[in-house]
Amino acid sequence: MDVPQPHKMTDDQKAMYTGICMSRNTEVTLRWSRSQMFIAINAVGFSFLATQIGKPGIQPYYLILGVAGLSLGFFWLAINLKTQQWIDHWQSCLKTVEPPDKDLLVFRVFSGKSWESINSFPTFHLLLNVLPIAFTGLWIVTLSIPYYEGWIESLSNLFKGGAQ
Amino acid sequence: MKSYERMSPTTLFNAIFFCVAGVFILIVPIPSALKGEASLWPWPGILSFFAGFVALGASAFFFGAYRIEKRLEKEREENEAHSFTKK
Repeated sequence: MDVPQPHKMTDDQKAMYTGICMSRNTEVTLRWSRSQMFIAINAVGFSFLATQIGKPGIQPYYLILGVAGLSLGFFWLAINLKTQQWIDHWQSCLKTVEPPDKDLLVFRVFSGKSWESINSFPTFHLLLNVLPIAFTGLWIVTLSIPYYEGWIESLSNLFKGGAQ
Repeated sequence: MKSYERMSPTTLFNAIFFCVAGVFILIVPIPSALKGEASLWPWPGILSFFAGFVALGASAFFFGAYRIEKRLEKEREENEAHSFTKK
């Protein structure tokens, strides 16, 4: 009686697996580098705005920086989306090279129950999206400040009055 | 079993976020303009309209991306059923 043997990768498959794995890892690293760059740009924008607070003629800065920040937020989210699509593509390729799920006693990384559970909610893509969404929200608030300046002023006067 | 993260819910959230933001940005100057505190034309209203349309454009982009993502998820499921190493 034949005992079923565990599947073994050929040398070509091993080379292909390593190559795709490197492409996937590069994309993951790039994802974080890109996010760091966008965080730095947003921080510069907010720092500049903070230095202008209290100076006369700040209203145009609120609007111009708000529009620029909003556009940047959209660009950041779109880049995150595209990066994740590439990562998914490489992972999907890696899974096709790995032994099928039904094979026992084989080592799998990008498939199997443990991979599925580690990729469940909340995913890294979702968590990484929180950053641009938060920054974009702040830029939208900045954009609307000139229209609610009177309202903000009366609110701050109210707090000042309460503190006295 | 899936080898990828499900991106479609996040993409849909982005689309809804920009849709709400776009509507908000388009509406936000109106109360001030009605009171005569801010001008809708040419400045600063034009910039707000521009920002509103940028946000609505972003929303349309993400709605499109959501539909593509759904199709990609289906295609990946089909592709992964044909593994190289499958006996």
